[in-house]
Amino acid sequence: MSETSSAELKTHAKRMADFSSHLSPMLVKELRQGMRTNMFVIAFILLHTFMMLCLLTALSAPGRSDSDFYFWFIIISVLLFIQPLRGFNALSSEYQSKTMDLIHMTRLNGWRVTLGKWTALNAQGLLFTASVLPYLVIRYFLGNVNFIVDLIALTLIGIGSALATAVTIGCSAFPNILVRGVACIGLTILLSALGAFVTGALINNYGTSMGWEFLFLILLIGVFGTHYFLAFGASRISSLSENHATRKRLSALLATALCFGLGLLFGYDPSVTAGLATNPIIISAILCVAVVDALTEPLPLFARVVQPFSKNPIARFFGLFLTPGWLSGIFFFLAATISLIASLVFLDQSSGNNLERQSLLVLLSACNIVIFPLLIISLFFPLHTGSKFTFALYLLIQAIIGGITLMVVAAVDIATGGREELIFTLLPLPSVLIFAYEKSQLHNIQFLFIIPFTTILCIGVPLIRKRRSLAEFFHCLSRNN
Amino acid sequence: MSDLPEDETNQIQGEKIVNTPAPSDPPAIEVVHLTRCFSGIQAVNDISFQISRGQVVGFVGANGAGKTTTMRILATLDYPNSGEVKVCGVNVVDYPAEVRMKIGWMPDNYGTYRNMTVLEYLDFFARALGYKGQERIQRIVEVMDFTDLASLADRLIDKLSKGMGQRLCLGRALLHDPEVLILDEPAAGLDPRARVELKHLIRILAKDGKTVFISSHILSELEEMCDSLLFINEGKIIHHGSSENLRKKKSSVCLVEVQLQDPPEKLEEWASLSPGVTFRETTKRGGRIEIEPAADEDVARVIHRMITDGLSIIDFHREEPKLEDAFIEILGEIEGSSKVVVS
Repeated sequence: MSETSSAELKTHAKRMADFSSHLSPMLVKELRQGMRTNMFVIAFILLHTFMMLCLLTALSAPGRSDSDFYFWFIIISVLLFIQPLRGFNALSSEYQSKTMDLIHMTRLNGWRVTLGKWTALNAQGLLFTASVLPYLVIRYFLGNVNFIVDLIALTLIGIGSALATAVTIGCSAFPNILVRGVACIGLTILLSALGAFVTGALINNYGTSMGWEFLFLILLIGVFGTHYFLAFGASRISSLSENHATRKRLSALLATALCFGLGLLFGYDPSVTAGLATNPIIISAILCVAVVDALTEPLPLFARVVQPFSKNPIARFFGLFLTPGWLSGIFFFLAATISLIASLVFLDQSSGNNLERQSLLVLLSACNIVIFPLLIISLFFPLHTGSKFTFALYLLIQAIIGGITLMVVAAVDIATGGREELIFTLLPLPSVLIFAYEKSQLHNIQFLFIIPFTTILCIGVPLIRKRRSLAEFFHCLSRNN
Repeated sequence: MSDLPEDETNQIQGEKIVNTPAPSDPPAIEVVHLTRCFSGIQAVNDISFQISRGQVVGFVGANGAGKTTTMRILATLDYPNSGEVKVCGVNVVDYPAEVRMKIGWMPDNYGTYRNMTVLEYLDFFARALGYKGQERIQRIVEVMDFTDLASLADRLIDKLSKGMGQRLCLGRALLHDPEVLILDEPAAGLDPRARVELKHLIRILAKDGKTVFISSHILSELEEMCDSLLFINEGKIIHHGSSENLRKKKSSVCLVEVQLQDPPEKLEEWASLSPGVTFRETTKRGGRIEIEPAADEDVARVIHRMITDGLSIIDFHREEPKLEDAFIEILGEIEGSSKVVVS
């Protein structure tokens, strides 16, 4: 190569040594690529066109609320729909372009990959948000605008956008578009329901004024959810020698503890049922997401990932439910169930109530719903216990069980003369049992027998079927290094 | 590229290279009883081999023979069900991060990004490999210089030809100056010119003391580049040795191409009646025959007999034994047995 072209090359390469040198490689790459995509350019142009139209409308008819509606509609569309949708292919596109293996060969681990992608999408979202701020200021001068309320609303939309983007990026770790779609839709429904429930319950509790608890809870859900779903994506794309499970499970337990602490700190009014149930519902949702993830994780390379937990008895105890893989996921399920029941009993007692034994059984049955698909997978699809298809299989089984439960509900509604009990006995699915309890069709003694038996079955059968892996897990955990 | 360590001596012999590593150095690649199954199918079945430092070794086998699986395990992208795999003495399962810094991996399908230029692509991987500041620029410039990509610096990757893409992929694999290069079918789909360019780059790397483990379907190409060849079939190693040794196996038979004025059928008919001569295949103006034994006097006797039997020969050409033929012969020999041939 001639001296001239070598010098040219150096000039080219020096272009790369700007401020971006201090940023994450994945962030730089994603920003470079992302801001060149047609979707980004079109969305940006459309946003500003609509904003200009809104402004012109507001100028032509001051005081009308139409422009307000359009303003927020556009902001919400861009930040809560378009931006998260761009995350839908974030990780799977690396598989499609066959670059995931190349990334694995570098020093970037799964977490840095997902975090870089999320930060890049949010940086683009921030660019959108910052670019509409002048319109917000002009609207303020036109009147009928509460600037502080608008800013708070914009912040909340921003938190929602960050969380929704984390969810789609996390789910994009599944190369199959169907699994990705179902996981995204399921989680969106869960999070929207949770958000609506928390808002509704707190508005009932405190009136229309938003209390500190509301902000704390929103922030808690936002931070935990974002962290968890990014770690979820990271664990699904990483090699089996990386451990993301410990951080994920610990973050779920920490979020649970914080939520529980907020419940104790702000206290409850037992007369307001919705308010009382807010924190337990959030705790249940957090643990449910973490347990489903733990139960569908592939088995790791025990010798490598268990090593840090085999140092002393305390580390071994925590290693039992914090190491990656569905085997430890079963123990995590037990730990989560115990934590959930204990926190509910404690919160209930602190509000002056005493949880009945039957309520506890119903709670245990609700926990059984989460683990029940593992029993089915272990019995009928043993090769897929902890495979890359387990998560998809889990969702499919849950959907089928949901369908069966709905059919049972319909059948019970038309059944008469003691046939209801026969239906419940023939189909002792955890979800059906909860329904049976609501209908008061089963006696206490039946509940006392069936529900704990189901729990033991759901835990015992997969462990027995994979006893060799279990033995290896315990062997690695007990081996001194 | 990089300077060789002082304890390694390179003796260049024509195009090929012989590196003499220090006696204490572990082999570049060490595979012991490696087994890998996918849903009950054994992709790799208890294979063992060793590659010394500085060697260029070709990995040959049909599609589905287990080449890519073995290479992916070496590159820490897959895991063995049993057995041990080490790169430069480091276990790939226990210390994947350390191994990754020692190897350059080039898959059969090089990955591309949309909306990204050649320079940005290399810059991303240099950053991801942990290079910062001036050192990063230096590495990128060196690699672009080596792979002759400077003129394409601002071109979008998805607009590159296959040959340019392979050079870019090789450049990416060389960014961290690895000791071992694992190249999976790098010449697949390349036009003849790009193939020659790639071969040239690999020769330079070999001269530079890199260990190169390269897979290909084209045996003649590997023969020109490699110190030894490793043949794999149905997950088992069936031969490990130099191409010369492989050819010797075939030297008891002499392959001759004969062109006649007569129709080719006449040659086939004549061969069926002649002892020590086997008709192999028809060509445009004659055919190929095998003469056994292959001593010069035997060949001379056959030519004499052909003339005396009335065949009007216009050309008689003795062919060098082909590696492909030797490989097929080995496959035939090992059918039913699992013996490894080491020569």
